[in-house]
Amino acid sequence: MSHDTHSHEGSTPKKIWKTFWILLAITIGEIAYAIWLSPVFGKTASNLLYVILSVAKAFFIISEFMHMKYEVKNLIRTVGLPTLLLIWLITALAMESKSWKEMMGKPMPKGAETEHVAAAPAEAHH
Amino acid sequence: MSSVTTAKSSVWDGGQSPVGVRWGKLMMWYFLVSDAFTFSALLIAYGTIRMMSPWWPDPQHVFKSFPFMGHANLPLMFVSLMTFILIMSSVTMVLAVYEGHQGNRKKVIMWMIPTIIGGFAFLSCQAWEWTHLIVDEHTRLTSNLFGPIFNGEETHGPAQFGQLFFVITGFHGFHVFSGVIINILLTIAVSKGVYDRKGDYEMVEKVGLYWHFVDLVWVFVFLCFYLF
Repeated sequence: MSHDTHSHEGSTPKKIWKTFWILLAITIGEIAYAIWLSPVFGKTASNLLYVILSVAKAFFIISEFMHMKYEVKNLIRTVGLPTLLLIWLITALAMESKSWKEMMGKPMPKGAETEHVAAAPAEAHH
Repeated sequence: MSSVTTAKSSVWDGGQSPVGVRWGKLMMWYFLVSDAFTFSALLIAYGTIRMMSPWWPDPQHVFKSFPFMGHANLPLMFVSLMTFILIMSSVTMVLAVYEGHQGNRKKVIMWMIPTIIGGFAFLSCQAWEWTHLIVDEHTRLTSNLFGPIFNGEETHGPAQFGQLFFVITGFHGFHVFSGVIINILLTIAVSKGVYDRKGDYEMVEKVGLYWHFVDLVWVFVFLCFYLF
């Protein structure tokens, strides 16, 4: 085995099983919370908790199962940094969907839909 | 020039991999990054449509059935079983990767077999879940009956509910399916001694990365469809 080109000495069956128990505990916790506690704490707080716990699970899967924590910093950056764009996409579309929901069912202000369109052809007609 | 390079040498000067892995593994990582963006696009589109909808079916109402349990109300129990199967199969895969590093051909095969069985078990569960939704709950690509109860009658829910569910879990299921096929091919290659002759089991690691990615995506499918 060409161990000199690898750096996986850190991963052991003991650490792998430990990660498994953490993932299992988080998942069981999430389900138990969803069934019994989510009606108590409400939708927003519950969803925030689910997101935090899911990101934690993703962290454990990537770092231990996918060996990411034993890799060099350059590999972690080249894979990790592009995914930060998703934070922007999620934020932008969450804001947009909220404003869309508020807009729905509301009547358009009178004259609003023709204002921009009307100005341009006015110059063309002479 | 030479005085500059001897004064300060960097991993970017050439002659070595700046990311510390070989070509094949780096490309597997980049493939997974692009695949992550594909899944993200699907899940974010789902989230956007769901958030702008005035009403959305409650997952604990939609996913409350369990095989052979009739009409028993068991919210999220079946999907928990599916999650458990996938985590378990991820563990056996990473143990196979570990044995690959030690060069233990027999032990790699020993851990690959439960990994493949886990993959098939997950796909079987998904087949049951889809069948249940289509046959018993009449969920279609453009319509479903998970609407608000009105005058004691079921009404139609959001038109895209079925489509988003089937496309996203189907795309994930397709990844699981191809992962199982790749795992089988890998196990055959290992048992033939291909990587012993090569003197290196990195292929087990690359296939392992793909298999863990499938588990990673499931974390977010589970979050978006079943927990939210």
